[in-house]
Amino acid sequence: MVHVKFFALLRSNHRVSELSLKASDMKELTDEILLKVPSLSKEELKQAVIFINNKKVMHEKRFNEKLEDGDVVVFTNFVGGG
Amino acid sequence: MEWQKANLGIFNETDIKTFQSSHVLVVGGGGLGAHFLNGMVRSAIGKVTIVDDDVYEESNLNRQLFSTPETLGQHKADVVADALKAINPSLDVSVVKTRIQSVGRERFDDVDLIVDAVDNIVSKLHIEGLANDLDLPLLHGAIGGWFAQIGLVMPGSFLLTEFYGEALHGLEKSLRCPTFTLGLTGNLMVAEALKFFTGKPTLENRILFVDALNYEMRILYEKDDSYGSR
Repeated sequence: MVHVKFFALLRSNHRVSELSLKASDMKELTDEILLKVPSLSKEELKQAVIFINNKKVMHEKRFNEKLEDGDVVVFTNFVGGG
Repeated sequence: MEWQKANLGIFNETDIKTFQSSHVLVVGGGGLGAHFLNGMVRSAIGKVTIVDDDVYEESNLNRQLFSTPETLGQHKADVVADALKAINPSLDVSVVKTRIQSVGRERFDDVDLIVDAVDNIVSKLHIEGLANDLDLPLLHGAIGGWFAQIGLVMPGSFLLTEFYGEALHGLEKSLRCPTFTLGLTGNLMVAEALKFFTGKPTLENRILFVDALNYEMRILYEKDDSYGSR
């Protein structure tokens, strides 16, 4: 299973913080997330910044990335104000 | 100065001397920058440089620490510098009223830490490149709505470039920048700077996320070059 965590706007807007899903790559994972959380749009997931195991940062371009059992995938949002 | 000894407790006399002999250059004196500088001066920092070419507008009154109806139209860097001198008259404070892109290299000669308190991603990435060229550590802070991030970017890591990718703006565009998230984050940046100066564990090449809506803080990103070999 891949452990998915939501932070920032994704979490506040959809009232979901964690999911455990079966997926072998990021595309499968996002498809599964959209099934489990129908209020979430593909666009919102694309705008998210994604971290795998706290070590790797991903943007939309790398959605073909392979995932392994036990991976922790965090979806959150950028902030750039000050 | 006697009042600076009120910081003894978590810091010792050597730490306070270190703060007194340190120089931080802060880019952006508006939201994050003013909260950060207020905390640094009260923590006994000896020298600060404030880089900001902007003047106060009425829309800054909701969040920027030293903006008042009287200071509208004045340069933020000047007003903040005066406020800091009022707290500590012996503070060594310099003001640079240009954009960061035009600041001369001589301004960085004895700088120990550069601070990213700017309000946009393009400038943040420029500052990261500059700090890297100057071989100086960069304290990064950013906010949007209830949310914030802080990190200590070391030369060679290009943490922000990797993190922001091709993004031009984040949640701040729609959620704006409330004063409490700025104060919270600016003061966490003070804690981080003081830890850096005293050799305590820092957020070196890591990004801490802060969520003031759900009351959560956690490290979501640690730069690790070995990951790619998995």
